[in-house]
Amino acid sequence: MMRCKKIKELLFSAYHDKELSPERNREVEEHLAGCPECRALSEKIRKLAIDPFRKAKSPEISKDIWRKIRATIELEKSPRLRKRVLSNIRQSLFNRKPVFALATAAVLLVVLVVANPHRRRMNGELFHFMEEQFLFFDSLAEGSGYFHEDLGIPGEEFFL
Amino acid sequence: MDAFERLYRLSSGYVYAVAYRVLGKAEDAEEVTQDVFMSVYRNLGRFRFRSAFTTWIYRITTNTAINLYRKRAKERKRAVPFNEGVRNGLEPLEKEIASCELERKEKEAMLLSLLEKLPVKQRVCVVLKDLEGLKYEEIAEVLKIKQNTVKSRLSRGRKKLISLNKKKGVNDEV
Repeated sequence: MMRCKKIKELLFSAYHDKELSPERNREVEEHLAGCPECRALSEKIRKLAIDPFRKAKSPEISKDIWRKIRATIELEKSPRLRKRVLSNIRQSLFNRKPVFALATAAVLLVVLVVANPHRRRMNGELFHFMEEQFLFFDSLAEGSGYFHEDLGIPGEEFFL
Repeated sequence: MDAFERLYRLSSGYVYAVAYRVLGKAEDAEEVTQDVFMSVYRNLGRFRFRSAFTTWIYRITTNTAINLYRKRAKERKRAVPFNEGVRNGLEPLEKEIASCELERKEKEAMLLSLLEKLPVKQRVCVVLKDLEGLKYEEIAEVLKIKQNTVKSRLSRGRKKLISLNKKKGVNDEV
C-alpha cells in the first residue's frame, strides 16, 4: 500500500492526467477510498487546477488572420509584385528626380557662398590689403601722402 | 480551396488557442498565428515526417509564442509599472467555478488570470495538457524535454495554483 506522500505526488500529475498504469491507478483509487485527506486533496486539485482548463471552450479566431496570411503569401509568390514594391520603396528612399536634385544643389551652393563667414572675413582682409597696395603705388607715383608719419632722418642721410 | 488553406482550416484553431492562452492577448495570438503559418508555408518542404504533423505545428507554435512572451516581458520591464493583467489576484475559485452564471468572457478572463500566475514553461505544459489534451509523450516531443520534466512542470504549476487560492482565501477572511 502506497503512503499518502507518494499518493499526493501522483494526484498532482499522473493520476488526474490518466498517465498511470492500470495497476498503479487501481492502487491510488483504493487509497483514496480509505483516506479522506487524500480524497479531499484530489477533489481540490480537480476543481481548482484542472477543471477550469479542461472545461474551457476554445477562443474564437478572427477571419482576418487568414486574409493577412493569404496576402503575405501572394506577395511572396509574385516576383513581379514583390519587385515593384521593393523598387517603389527604393525609389522613394534614394532616387530623387533631377529637377529637385539640381534645385537642392543650387540652394546649397548659394547658402555656402553667401553665408560663409570665413569667406566674408577673407574678402575683408583682401580688400584691405589691396587698398594698402593701391595707396602705396599712388605714393610712389606721386611722391606724397602714403607715409604720413614723420620718419625723422631720410634714408639717404642715414646711410651717409 | 488549396491544400495550404485546408491545412489552415484544420489547424488554425489550436494554433490560435495555444498562443492566446500562453500570451493572454488576442492581438498577440493573431501575430503568433500568422507567423506560425508563414513559417509552415516556407518550411513545408523541410518537413520530414519524423514526427506527427500536429506535433511539428505545436512545436512551431509554442516556440513562437514563448519568444513573443519573452519579448513582451522585456517591453513590460522597460515600461514600468507592471500591468497586473486581466484581474488583480485570484478570487476564491471554488465559488467562481461553481457558479454557472459566469459569462463566457468572464470565464475566459478567469482562465487567463490563472495562467498568468504560472511561469511560462509551466503555463505551456498546462495549456498543452489541460486545454489541448495532449499526452505526456506528445508534450515531451513538442517541447523536446523529458516526460518526467513535463510531469514535474504540471505538478508544480498545479501546486502553485492551489497555493495561490489558499493565500487569497486567507486574505479574504482577514
